[in-house]
Amino acid sequence: MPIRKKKIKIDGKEIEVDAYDTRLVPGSGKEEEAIESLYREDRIEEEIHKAVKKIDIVDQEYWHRKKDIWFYYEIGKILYFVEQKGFVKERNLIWERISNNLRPKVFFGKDKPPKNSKRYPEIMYLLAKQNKEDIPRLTWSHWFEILQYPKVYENRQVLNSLIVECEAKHLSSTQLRKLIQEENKKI
Amino acid sequence: MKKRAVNLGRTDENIAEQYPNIFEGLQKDATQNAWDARLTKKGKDWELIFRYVHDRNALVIEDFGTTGMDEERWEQYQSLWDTTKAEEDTLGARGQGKFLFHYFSQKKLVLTETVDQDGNYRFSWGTSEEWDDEGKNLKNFIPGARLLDHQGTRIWIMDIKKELLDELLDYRSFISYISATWWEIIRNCGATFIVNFDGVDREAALLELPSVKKERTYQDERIKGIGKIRNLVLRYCKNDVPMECRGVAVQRGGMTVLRLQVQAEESIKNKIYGYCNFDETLEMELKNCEFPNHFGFRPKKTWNHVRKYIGNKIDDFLLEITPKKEKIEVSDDILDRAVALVNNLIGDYAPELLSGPDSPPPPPPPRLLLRIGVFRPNQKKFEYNDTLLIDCEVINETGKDHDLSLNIKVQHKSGDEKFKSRYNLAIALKTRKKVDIPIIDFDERRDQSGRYRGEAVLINPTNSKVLHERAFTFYLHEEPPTRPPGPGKGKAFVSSFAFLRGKKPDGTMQYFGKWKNLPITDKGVIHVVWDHTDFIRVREVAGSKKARNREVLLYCANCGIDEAFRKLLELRYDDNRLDPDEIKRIKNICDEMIYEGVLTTS
Repeated sequence: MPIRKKKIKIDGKEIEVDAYDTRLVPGSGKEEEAIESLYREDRIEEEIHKAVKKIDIVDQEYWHRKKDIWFYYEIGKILYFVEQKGFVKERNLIWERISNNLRPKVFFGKDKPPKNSKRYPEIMYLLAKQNKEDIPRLTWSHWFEILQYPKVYENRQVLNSLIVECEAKHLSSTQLRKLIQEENKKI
Repeated sequence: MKKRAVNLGRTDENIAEQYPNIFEGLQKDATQNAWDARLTKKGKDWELIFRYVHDRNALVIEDFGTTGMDEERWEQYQSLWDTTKAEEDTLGARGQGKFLFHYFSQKKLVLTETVDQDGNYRFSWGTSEEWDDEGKNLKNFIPGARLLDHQGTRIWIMDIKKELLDELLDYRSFISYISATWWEIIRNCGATFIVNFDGVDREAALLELPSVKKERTYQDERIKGIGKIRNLVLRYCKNDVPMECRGVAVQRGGMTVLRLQVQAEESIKNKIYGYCNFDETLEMELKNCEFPNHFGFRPKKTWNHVRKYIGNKIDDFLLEITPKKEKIEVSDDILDRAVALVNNLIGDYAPELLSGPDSPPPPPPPRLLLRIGVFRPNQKKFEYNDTLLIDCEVINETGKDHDLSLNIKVQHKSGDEKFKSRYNLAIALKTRKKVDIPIIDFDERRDQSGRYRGEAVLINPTNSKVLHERAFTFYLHEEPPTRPPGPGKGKAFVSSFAFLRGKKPDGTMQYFGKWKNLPITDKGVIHVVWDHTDFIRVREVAGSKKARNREVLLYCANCGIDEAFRKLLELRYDDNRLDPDEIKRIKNICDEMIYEGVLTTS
């Protein structure tokens, strides 16, 4: 588990802190396990901070990001560290830490994250796994629709046909969503 | 197309996931199939060629000096998890390796040609789900290709996945995988491997190893009731051994299944390599516990014995090559005791701070200078065919050497003795000694299921006085009882330690950033500041993981004692008993607790 923002009471006053998830319970017999888990949390936090530094650079480079799919792709490539460092299982909480706690502005353009905030980094991460040649063929909102359906994007044939159709008919993301949902049912 | 007997939708992907390295796995599985099919026992004229055909984007694996596949073998080859081979004296067992071939193909298409001893040519094409051998021939897939014209087998992995291509075609790595895995058959049988990924034939040769400084060889050594080790060779070199050859290669049928790493200092272990092979019985036993990917063994009886045997010999060898030095270790039970430290110390020094049920806390165990430091089993629950490994250490913290006796007994709850032994130990002052207790096996025919108890009694042989006793319980072929839910016994001051950061992500500091911990909560939780400079320092100073964990626990215990100090002051203040003498007394109590804490965990 990565570190999370938590509200705790100190001397009756509520304060927001960066807290570790692991607790050390004396006499539980799992003390060593807990310490190892603390270290893992620490390692994750360290990697998160490294990633955030890189994200900041990309953020500066792509000031016109809303229109540039490569911005999302580049961020996704940075987020790929979860796979390289073996944190895939904890990735949802890592997304939460990066996008909600540390860099909401980069991900959502505002300080307060939206409801489904974890999806943004997840979609960027999935985007970075796609064929590089396919990336500029669609816009971010199109990819956002597609990459929410694993059965669809994992099926090379279906994905290709969707991309082709989207390009040919200039589908809006709402039209594309309907199409994806139909394909998803068929698979 | 003929359907295979099972639904194999994504089997190739599932199988590929079982491999630590699919490229190494590919050569291992391909060679293993071809070597199993060799015409002569010594593999005369045996040859295996890996060739990449650029214009077809296909990998071709062709063997020579092999039997090819007759009708029966052909049927078996097309099946998955047909365990017929597991009963045979061959390398393969489950026929799943070939499914790795499908994984490499974008369309999962693999073509197979074979010519058997009677000159019958067979051809099949298929994916991991379907296959067929009628109606089409090689030329339908590869126009102009020549058919296989010698006894043997040729496999075409078509349309190699783009994402795998770069790594696959790195012929240096591929050849080194072959050399590191099949060095025994290359050296002893003259097996030939050709890798041609860029139009040039390259033969896999033995890896160059540095000159040997010291060697130890063990031959025909029997492991009781298991089988015979044919050769165990350990070598210590002048220079570092190539990465892929470090450790002791465990061989089966000419193939390196895994390399047991040597547990020693970096500068020493990097210079050690060796190998171990076995007689036919033991090879067969090992085959039964080998992982289907041929990259390791399950921790079953045979492998446990073999690993322990090799481990012991490596330890002996290390003693020979390294200057002798006393190993200082911190036993695990010290950690267990250290974490309960705060509550125990507060129970002793400031019991008024404890909260919880009224039953008195158990008295802390007396600290003996001559004692059994470690006595524990490797598992709490065993199945038949598992092995019991007892970790046992005796500690002498006195100022003189001692001759002691240690009685070990393992018995079923009915009283049936499973194991009994006596050890005479000479332990030097201020040292600990590891007792080498043999592996204990469980047999369904001899051993009853249920609760077992292991006991260790440390005796002074001169007057037969019992110095220390320890015991553990375990269960054979039966689930250990679970602890009933509810609050734990005894009173406690601290229920748990939680951790937080004093520094905010933007680099500024929380107002408590310079505190070691936050005040204890009503629920007995102490929040410790993880990035406090003192805490960082104690973690960094520790030389090993074990020492680091001990320091973390001790630091937490200190935080607990600091909180106890604060709470005592508050209590005395509320009682109107706080004066300079009382403050001094409380301070002294806390100092004593810290002193006792350090002593207990050191």
